[in-house]
Amino acid sequence: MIPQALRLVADRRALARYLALLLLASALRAGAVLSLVPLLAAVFSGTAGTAWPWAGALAVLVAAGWLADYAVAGAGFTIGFELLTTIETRIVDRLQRIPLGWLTPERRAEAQRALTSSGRELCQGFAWLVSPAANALTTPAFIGLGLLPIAWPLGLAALAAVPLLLGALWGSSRCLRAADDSYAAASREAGQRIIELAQAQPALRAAGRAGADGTAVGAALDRQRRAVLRLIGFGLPGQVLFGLATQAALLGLAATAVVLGLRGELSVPEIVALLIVVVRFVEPFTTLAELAPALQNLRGTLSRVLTTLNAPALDALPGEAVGETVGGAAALEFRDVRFGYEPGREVLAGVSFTVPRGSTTAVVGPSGSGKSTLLALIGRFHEVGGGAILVDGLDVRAHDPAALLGRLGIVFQDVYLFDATLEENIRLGNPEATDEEVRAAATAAQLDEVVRRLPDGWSTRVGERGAALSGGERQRVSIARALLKRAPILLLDEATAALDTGNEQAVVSALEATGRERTTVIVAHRLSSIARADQILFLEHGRVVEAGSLAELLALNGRFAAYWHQREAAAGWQLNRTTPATDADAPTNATADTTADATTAATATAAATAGDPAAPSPAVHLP
Amino acid sequence: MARGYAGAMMKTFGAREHTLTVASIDDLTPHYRRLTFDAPTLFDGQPIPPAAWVRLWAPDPVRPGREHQRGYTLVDPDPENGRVCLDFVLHEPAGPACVWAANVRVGDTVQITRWASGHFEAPSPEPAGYLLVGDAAALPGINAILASLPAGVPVEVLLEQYHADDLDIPLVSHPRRTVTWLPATGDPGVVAAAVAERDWSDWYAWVTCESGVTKAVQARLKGLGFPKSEIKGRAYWIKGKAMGATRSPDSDAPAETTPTSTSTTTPAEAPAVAGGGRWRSQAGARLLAPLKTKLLLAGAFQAIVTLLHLAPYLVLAELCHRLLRDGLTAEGATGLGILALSLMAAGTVLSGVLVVAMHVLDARFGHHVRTTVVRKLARLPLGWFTDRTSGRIKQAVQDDAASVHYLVTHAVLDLVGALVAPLAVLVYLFSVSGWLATILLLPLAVFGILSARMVASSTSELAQFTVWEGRAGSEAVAYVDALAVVRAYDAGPAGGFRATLDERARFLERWQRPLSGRKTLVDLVTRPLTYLLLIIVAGLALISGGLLDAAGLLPFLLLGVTFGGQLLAAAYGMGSVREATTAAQRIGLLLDEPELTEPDQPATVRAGGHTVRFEGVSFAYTQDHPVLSGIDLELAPGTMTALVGPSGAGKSTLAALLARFHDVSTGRITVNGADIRDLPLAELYRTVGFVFQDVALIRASVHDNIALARPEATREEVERAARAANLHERVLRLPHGYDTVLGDEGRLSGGEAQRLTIARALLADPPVLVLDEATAFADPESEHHVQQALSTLVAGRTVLVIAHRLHTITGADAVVVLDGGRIVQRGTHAELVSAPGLYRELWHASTPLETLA
Repeated sequence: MIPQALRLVADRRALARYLALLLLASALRAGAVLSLVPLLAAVFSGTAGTAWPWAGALAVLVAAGWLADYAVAGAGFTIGFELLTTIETRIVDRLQRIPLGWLTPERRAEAQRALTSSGRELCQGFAWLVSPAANALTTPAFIGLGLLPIAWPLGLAALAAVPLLLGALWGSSRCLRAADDSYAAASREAGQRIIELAQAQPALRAAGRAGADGTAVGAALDRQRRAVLRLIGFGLPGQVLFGLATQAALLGLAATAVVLGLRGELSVPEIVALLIVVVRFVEPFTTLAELAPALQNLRGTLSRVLTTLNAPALDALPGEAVGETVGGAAALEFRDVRFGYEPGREVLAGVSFTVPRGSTTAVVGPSGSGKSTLLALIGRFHEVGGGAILVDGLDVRAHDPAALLGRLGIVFQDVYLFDATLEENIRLGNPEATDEEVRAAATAAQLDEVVRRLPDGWSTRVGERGAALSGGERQRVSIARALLKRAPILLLDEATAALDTGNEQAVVSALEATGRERTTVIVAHRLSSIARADQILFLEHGRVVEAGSLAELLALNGRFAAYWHQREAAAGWQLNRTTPATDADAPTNATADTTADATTAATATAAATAGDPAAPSPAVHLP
Repeated sequence: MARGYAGAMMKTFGAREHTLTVASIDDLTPHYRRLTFDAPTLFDGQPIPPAAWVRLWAPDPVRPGREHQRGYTLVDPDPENGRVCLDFVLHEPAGPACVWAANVRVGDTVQITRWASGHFEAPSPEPAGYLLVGDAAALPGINAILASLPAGVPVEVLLEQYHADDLDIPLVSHPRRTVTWLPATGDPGVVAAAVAERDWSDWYAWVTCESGVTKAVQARLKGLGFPKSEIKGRAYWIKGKAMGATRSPDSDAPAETTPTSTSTTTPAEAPAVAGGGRWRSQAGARLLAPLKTKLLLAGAFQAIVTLLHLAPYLVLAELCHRLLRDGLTAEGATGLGILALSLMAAGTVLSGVLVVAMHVLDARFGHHVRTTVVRKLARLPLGWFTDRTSGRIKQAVQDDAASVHYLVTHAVLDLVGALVAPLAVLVYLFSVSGWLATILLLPLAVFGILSARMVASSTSELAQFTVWEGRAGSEAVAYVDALAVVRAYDAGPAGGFRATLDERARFLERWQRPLSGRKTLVDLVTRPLTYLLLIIVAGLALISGGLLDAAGLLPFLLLGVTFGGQLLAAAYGMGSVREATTAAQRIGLLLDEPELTEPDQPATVRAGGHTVRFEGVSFAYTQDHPVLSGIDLELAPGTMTALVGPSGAGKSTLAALLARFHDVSTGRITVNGADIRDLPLAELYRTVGFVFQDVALIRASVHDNIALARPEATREEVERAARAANLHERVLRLPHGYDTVLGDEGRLSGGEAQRLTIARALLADPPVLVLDEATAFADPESEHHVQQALSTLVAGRTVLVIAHRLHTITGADAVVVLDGGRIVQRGTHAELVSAPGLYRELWHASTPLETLA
């Protein structure tokens, strides 16, 4: 772990100086301890007076040790402050280049924690943990070496004890960590069951099964109880092993000294002095054991930092420098694009289509068909697994990342607003925009009415993640932001939460009205949005199964048409308790029939549009 | 600098002084003077908490050059203008501060120290009420507290009155405060006796009176059941003592006070009111109560184990001793070796036994806690289960339970070990040589003084540090969560975050770098080598002086070198014990949540068609904010009633009452004549089912999920329900069909999950159904399927539906229009839409939008 920490340090000279000082300090410490041998021998020979010169030597060594330690601390602080001022920025730099899919909730939390406190923790670690820990590791070895010329068997025994004690310490902390881990695992399992229980209370109460007896929760709790008992297997050696080893080493070394005395190789005062040295020899290990929990925390910090710093980065295609866009090329082209968040599970399984400059393409399809992923790939938030995406005729991987995003205006489904004012959130789209431009974008996004309603108008803080606004309002802010950016390509993920508010309607129209120059790709749920598109892509199971204009697709009477009719029916639905049960089945069957009919036609259309006749026939319908 | 011992100590520990200059003098009453000061150095960027006080150094009126300290509460601190007020009670005979204040002129200066002074901190969990007890001298503090308390909480103020004009001192108003002035009689028990004998559960008391009175009130409160943690007591002055505020009883006590009303209660014999009352703040202690004896026992046991672990060093000391006295013999050494080995074995075995015992204890206790939580969950009102509370449950059963686990298996034992070892060593060393042992305490003293000075000198940085940590933390969360947005708009808050990180790093460096040298010094002072040198030098000197024989040095060299560091380490052990008790407190609070009452004599629902009646129902979450009032409503068997109204009208609350998410405040809800509160919970939930937007799937097979309310249902029945809910075909497409474990092996989309809950309701087949007609269908593609499933579900039941889109319920048998928690209209859609009123407005407002969709 210490090597890992050292590797983070960029300033190699500071590091070398630090390590050299560390060794010097250890040697001085060992020297001070060893000076006890003549000193105490003198004291216990009954001539305390002759000990004073040795005491002077000890004082000199201790003072030198202080100076060295002071210098070590200074060097440690230098390294610590370097980490403090740079590490978090380094993490931010890396985060800017990772594929977003890499950020699982756990990694997200780790990155957030790393950004919050890792600099400080590493700085403190270097100053207060790494130095004493390294000292505790090296000082006993130096003492052992120093003992060789005084009483070589004792020196050898001491040197042999070093790995033994370290091993015991390692074993102890390993066991304790294993115990903690398995406790956490068992506890997580039981915890999840209990939370589930809480969430399913209504149903469970109806069944009279809300308690712990004879239920899944009860079983999980019993398992947890047994798991805690099993911890004894780890906890016992963890808590006993190191203490036992220390005492054994102490007695073993003492016995060696005594035996040497019995053999006449050492005088009594010398034995006594050496016994004291032996105790001092063991002491740094105890220090190390006391530092262990803190070192454990530092290890956690380090691994959080390293996880993020070693994350994969979206780099340019090998051998391909930042290229030029091709004039006159389509605004956007997908060429047999394949992508999966995890290996073996393709979200997009060969998607090809072209979006001409200035046109609008609607992406439609059931949930989980890969619509939002498709948009994210255009912004290169993830790396395609196969095929290529071309923006203005150039592969997204060959674009300068900043330039690529500069061409895109993006409105996500999960709109993220910063805890700042409404105006600041819009201005994000173009920090240089004039106040008039910001106001105009907001008006186009139908925000005027929202601004009027908010307590502080434009200066209202929107709260964490925009909590002060409704889902629809958040999306309007996000649209205003995108409008202000005036990007040539607009990627829009229509919010389902806002489906029923008429305002959204006006917003989308406004967006589409802002010049025919703009190319728009919209993940659409609203019938009117779909109807207005120049091209509709029907996405299912990661493939484009139908593509064309609304009229074409309706005439095709395939998957899209079935979807369209269902959505129309849903819009006019009434809840009616007299609905005969048979009605419920009817639409499903109808869907199934049309789907089956449409399969071949759909494939043909998709293949034709995509220019890929080899596309396998998608399995759209299951009996 | 004639401030005596206290002043010197404060200075040593780094206390900072501020000079205040009198800016104006206001006599609020003839006996109550407010001085406003210019205090340019007092404000260091930290907020001044309510009722914070300072030490004022008042000149001795008789002996010039001497100064006395007296505590004063800061009144109206104004950091912007660097001004603050202090209130002085003027009385005869007067103490130094009083004399100074009485004779002060504008422009005079006085010094204050803000060091180790307390303030008022709103307790957590929030108390049910506040009892503030004091007199004129306590009013600045009491006023500051009154100003900081939330409006809804009751406050009782008991004040002892010494002057008639005390009543004229301005008192901060509070909507729920009651103020009682009690004329002082000279009997310290008067105020205590005025504390009513009633249930004070969850109240918090702030007692700042004259010393004797404070003691009496504290004793009285203790008798009334107040836990120690809920009484903040501090004597503000002492009767008959010249310091600050001396009063002679005869000059102050109003003669007309009737002695009869106060009886002869003295603090010692305060009547022990049946210690009734229950404090939520004690929830953690209640939870840990069964562990207490066992942990104490384990601690005692650990103390023995710790001493055994020290034994080898004692054996070594003895060995050295014998060597020096008798010379080296093989037998002597062997004997000691055997002794050492057996002590080691005993220590190891005992500590092993202890580890095992603690794990067994922990397993049992942890299981008990979790089982109790689970039982508790089954008795909480359903309204309690929200997203927020599921976080609390998670915290309780995972993180907090882990803290308690750590407490039982490690923390207590570690702490005992960390304390006992150095203390035992110290005692032993003192028995060997008091001189040398005393010298060993020197580095600790230096350590204490240096670190206190360091802390004192960086108070303002500490405050800034907290601010920076909070800011960097929340910005880091926002940055990572919004990474996609940050990349799409590569500026603004993203750049802002980098700037925050840079600024914070600069702040930390600016603060810490100058301290690093001092910190290193503090560290070096307690290093073993320092002790070693100290022992050798002092030891040699003592030996030369004949105060110590050479052998007496041995125990110091063996044991005295590291104990300083160990003692400091013990302080860290306290941290995890404190953490665990806070965790236990959170678990305890969860277990303390109010439960649904189960009927003593359970009723049953009569068979037949189910009629639901709301009779004069009103409901409020908190007393002053009624959500529903005067609701009379009948749901006829087999009919569908729709609830409509603007958002916030109380639709969801009304529907939730029927399912006993909460209990009504007044009135009652009946099903076929039986009050739903008289129904056993299982019976109620068999009768009333509900389908809401938020869907709870459990990690179990699809079959078990659908059959959650009827575990004994056959596969056929489950399939039938799934078919009716338009889910069957989707289930077949899952890897293992109905046996697919959701979450592990297969996932359902939002709309599919909604249909699963509908299938669940179909299988449970409740005669009464509460339905939240989902507006935001989780995925629009399956909206149609969900709608069909809903239509199937409502057939033949008594249905109460919350309608968000009016056109979906035009076919309802009855439409009830809610506004502001009251029923404003009822009828059928046709009737309501043809007459002017709220419904027609809503209908017209909604129709154009819906046709657009």
